Amino acid sequence: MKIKKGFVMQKIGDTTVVVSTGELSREFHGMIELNQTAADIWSYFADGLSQEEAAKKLSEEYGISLEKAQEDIAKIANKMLQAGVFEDE
Amino acid sequence: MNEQLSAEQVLKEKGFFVTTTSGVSMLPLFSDRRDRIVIRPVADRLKKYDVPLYRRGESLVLHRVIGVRENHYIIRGDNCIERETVKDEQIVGVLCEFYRKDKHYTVNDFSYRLYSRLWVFISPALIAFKKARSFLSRIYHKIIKK
Repeated sequence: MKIKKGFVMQKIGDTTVVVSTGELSREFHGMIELNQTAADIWSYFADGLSQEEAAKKLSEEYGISLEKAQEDIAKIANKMLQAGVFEDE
Repeated sequence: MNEQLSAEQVLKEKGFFVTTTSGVSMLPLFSDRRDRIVIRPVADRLKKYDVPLYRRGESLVLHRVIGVRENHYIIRGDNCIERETVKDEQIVGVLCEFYRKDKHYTVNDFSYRLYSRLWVFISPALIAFKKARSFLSRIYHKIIKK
């Protein structure tokens, strides 16, 4: 899963948001607000990790089971998919 | 993550609104689809040099206040010739921070304050130059056509 080029993650005070820049901003308007876990998951995908790799990293960083991490990743990835964040592969 | 709220709703709910600038009316400060702006609600009346986000019909516009009147503002984009009158009820929020070429600024930064004051100060000369250039260009094209 690859995040479309042009999304920029921005920290505003305690809040993390994502906005689109460049050509992407013609099709994607507005702002996505992320909680801390979602922001970390976003970073994993932005770094090019697969869903499995992201789940493993989340499990290690948050000290949670791999199953719980996979569940969280799937939930966030699904929302990102619905928001049109990923590129077609 | 997929809720679609208006700028006004986001400002009311979150206390800020982040978006990417589009268009060339605020050049040289903001480039088309490159820079990000952070808008916050307006607490009081705007002041000269403030950059409000306001409604012009369905559109949202970000231009600079160059004059404050009792019931409205005189507003113009940094790269525009024409000025317009904007009422308080059209104001959605005001620019507080921005990321220009990924560098973060606030409107209280010295460099930004210097830019905004200098730009407003020299803008009459720039506008006169643009008008003269446009006039000469029209004359030139008329002569060439003949």
